[in-house]
Amino acid sequence: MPTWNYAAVHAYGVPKVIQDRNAKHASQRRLVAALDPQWLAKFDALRREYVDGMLEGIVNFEIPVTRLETRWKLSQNAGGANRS
Amino acid sequence: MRIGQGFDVHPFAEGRKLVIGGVEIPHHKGLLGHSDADVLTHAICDALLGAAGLGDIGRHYPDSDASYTGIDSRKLLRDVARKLKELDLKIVNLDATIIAQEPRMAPHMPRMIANIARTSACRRRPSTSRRPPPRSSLHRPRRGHRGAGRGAHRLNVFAAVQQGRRPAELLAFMQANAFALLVTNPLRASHLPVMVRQNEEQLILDMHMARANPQWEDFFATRRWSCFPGRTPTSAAVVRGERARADLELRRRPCLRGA
Repeated sequence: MPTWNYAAVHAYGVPKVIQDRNAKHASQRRLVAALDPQWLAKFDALRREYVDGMLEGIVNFEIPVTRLETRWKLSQNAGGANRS
Repeated sequence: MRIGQGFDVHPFAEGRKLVIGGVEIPHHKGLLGHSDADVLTHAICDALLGAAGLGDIGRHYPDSDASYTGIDSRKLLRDVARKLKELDLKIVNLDATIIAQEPRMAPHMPRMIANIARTSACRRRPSTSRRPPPRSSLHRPRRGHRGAGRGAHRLNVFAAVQQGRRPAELLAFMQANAFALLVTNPLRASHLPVMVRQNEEQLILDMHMARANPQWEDFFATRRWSCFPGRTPTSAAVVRGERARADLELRRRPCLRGA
């Protein structure tokens, strides 16, 4: 049968909103550093008032994971030739 | 996949309870043993430990230890399940055969199966299912046609366990695919970036959304219909792999399985 292959992780937990300004800033900085490292210098150079205004516009939260479900469906049962 | 085999036998005795698979069966005799003498649960523990390469049940829960006197054997099974989980092992299949002349087991089997599935944290599949061999199932314990020696319960169990994904591999996958779908109850979903970090054993997802997105207000909502009033609803973050996209190409190719 033709089929879709995918890999997915489901993480469950109770979200906790982060109010602290510095914690929010640190969290956003980590995000930039990981996903847009070329922007990091620019991010650090932003005026504080501007950053605070932007941080006000978002809600940061963390989810401590209490349950993880994974699904790796990559047609392991089919031979390599059939897969690619 | 690794296979283990378990075996247990307990003699009948007067004045003892008959507990099999966590079910107390009304009978004029019970099974003699140091614990509750739950022969089915013991043999399953033994098979699971064997499959995991952890030795046998006596090594982990010696009958010389007074703390196991009269213990509910389901506690032992729960502990074995925990040991397997620590090793990332998942129960794939359990097949058990009870060999006994009395009493009739059939009326108690659904409860035994439910008990064992719940205690060992594996899903049950009805044995009447016509599906191909289930990947995670509990086979119905069968009553043997002949008793194994008078007045004794004997039991054979075969268990298979399979290695799960290593947490490190999961973490790497989630870090490499930092775009998640956040789903909350009542049903709402947002696509959000996610940063995954590990604080000792605890996995933590760092996320954010626009304040204008009403979904975050649901974090504080309680489910009116919930069986746990006042409990904050759990959210799920679904991280989907890049491979999902890359593999779309595969869909167009007919799979030649079995050809």
